[in-house]
Amino acid sequence: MQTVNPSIRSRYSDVKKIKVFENEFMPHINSIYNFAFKLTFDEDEAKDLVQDTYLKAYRFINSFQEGTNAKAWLYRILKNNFINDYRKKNKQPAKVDYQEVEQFYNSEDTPSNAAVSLQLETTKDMTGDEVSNALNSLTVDFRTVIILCDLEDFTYEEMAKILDIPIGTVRSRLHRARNLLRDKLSSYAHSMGYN
Amino acid sequence: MSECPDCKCNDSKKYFRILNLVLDNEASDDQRALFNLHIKECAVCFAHYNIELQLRQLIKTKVSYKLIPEELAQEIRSRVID
Repeated sequence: MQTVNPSIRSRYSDVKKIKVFENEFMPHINSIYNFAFKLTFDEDEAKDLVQDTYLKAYRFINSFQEGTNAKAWLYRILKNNFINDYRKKNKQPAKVDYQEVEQFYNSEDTPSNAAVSLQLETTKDMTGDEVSNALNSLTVDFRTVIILCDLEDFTYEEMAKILDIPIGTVRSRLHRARNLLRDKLSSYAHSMGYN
Repeated sequence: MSECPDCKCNDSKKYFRILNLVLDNEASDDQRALFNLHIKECAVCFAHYNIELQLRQLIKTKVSYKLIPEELAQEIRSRVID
């Protein structure tokens, strides 16, 4: 946001600001809330996070170019808010060592063995709660890329901008996240006797 | 996994990479065409394609969506207008 070139910065009147806020930002509030909840697992924290995100979006509205990707812009603000405020507040580890994990596996181009073991029949009877629980058990960085890509249909490029990481990292993180999720779903399906 | 046991191609790494691009709608037309041609001949790559597709569909159709509390949007609107 702050890096936007001042020469192309929009200047909105107060009336226009409200209009942009209502027409471009508010339509995304449901998915923003869903994302916030999936990051925090707490309704009150999710509400605060969404509120902070929208108030910040309004405060910086002159940095937003009307007609550009408002959804990605809001997600980026929310992600930054989450990292800056909530991780510190909750005294969670600053960063999972996923980069080390990624380098170790470096497996984007190869399937995992788990991929072979998870067959369609083993998961078709799983409930939404079971699949959600498996997703929620991933660390926040892995969970985030799956939500952004598979639930919200962001492109790799949009995800790279939202998360401030290179596209190559988006791809490898996504690949690793899906492998982990598949492992969890597979072992859960086995333990529940779905196969 | 450096060699695909089904079609004996030495390019399975390449196809697994393209597989993800295809399923995530990130592949170019050429990559998509190449991949579609390949999975007609290679049962292993085709099986992996279906497994990856299945995982994405599972996430999309079964992961619950948390609905926003009704009053939150209104709260935010009034705070902005004030």
